[in-house]
Amino acid sequence: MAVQFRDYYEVLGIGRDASAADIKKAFRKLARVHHPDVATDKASAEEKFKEINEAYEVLSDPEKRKKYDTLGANWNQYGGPPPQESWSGAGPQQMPEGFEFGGTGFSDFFEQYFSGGGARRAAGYGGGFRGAGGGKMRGQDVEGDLMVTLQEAFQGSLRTISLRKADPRTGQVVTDQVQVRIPAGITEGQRLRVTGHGGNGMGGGEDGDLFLRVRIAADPDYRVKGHDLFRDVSLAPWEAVLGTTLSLNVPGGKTVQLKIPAGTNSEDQLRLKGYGLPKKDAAGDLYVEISIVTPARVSSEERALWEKLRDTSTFKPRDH
Amino acid sequence: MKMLEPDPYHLLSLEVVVQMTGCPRRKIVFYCRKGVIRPAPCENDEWHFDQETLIRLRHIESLRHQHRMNWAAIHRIIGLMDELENLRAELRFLR
Repeated sequence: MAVQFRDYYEVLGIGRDASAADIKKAFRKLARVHHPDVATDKASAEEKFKEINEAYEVLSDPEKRKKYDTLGANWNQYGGPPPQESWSGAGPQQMPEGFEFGGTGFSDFFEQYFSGGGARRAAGYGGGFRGAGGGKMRGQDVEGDLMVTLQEAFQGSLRTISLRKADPRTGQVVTDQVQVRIPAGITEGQRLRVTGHGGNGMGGGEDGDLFLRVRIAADPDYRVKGHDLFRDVSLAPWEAVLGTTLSLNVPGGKTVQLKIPAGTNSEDQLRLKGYGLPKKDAAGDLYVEISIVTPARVSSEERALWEKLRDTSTFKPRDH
Repeated sequence: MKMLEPDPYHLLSLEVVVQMTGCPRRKIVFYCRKGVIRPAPCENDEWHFDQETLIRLRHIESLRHQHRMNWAAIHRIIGLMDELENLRAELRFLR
């Protein structure tokens, strides 16, 4: 199957010389517009959101970006695909021949060149041991990345994964589709084991397993660590000094009233217990990280007030 | 269409892990002693393992049999794999 080149710079609407900050800014701007939670056409927004995420996944990682830039626009003219990276680091293990799968949320292009596990033709490992039956040999395990949005991680979802396997003996290609339920509360890096959907076993040995490694899609507002969520909230200086109450939309469609205590500082962290990703015993927490921002422009009236405050205040920030 | 509901929190008994990995029981005990794998916390005294341990054991077995690596090399590779994954996770969090 021909793999189509993807211009990730074009997807994010940035130049090839964009800085890391420019990339982040462009991603956040686009991700907010195409976020499935806010878009009216959910299906197409989700597609677009995943496309933006894929571009960000590559361009925000210096190593992947370098590789992508090396590939360049004439990527397919010189020698074809580079060797697959293996997540396992377990050396050049034999890959299951002719194994491909789709529905992971990543394009074929990404899966072929940038997936940590080498998703499309994932690195095989762990197979090959002979069972009690002597000649029986178990098929290799196959691993690939699965892009899961924060919303999917929060609520769980059902994904259709297509598996295309070639029988090494007959060469016959079989495409199989399975629905995989992604449980609510799944976190970054966790693997879902799809039993018996890896490489073919030999001599009557059982087939290997397919492992889908969860990659939480970057979100414009939240970062994920385990079951905890982190969100930056900007405050005006007077909000930080006097305290305030903010209305905050949290994943899961809820809105919470967040009380900012008077005297809050930049980099202070406020914990909302139980507002993180769900898990068996107790949900994770949501951490709100404060940053105090100042207005870029002030009117003459505002300037006069700030000057009055400067002359009146006894606060000495550098004595702390 | 076939529907599959993988449970990432499903625990496997030692016997099942032996069967699923081809790794002998004594080897699993050895890896536990060396801290390369860890039994999941369980209410009873029996050893149970999570899915990540299953994958890890299959990696180890693959290194041992297919690449004929000795214990020192395996130990080193497993350590480096862990470090790599931790750094990747950190990078993804910070981006």
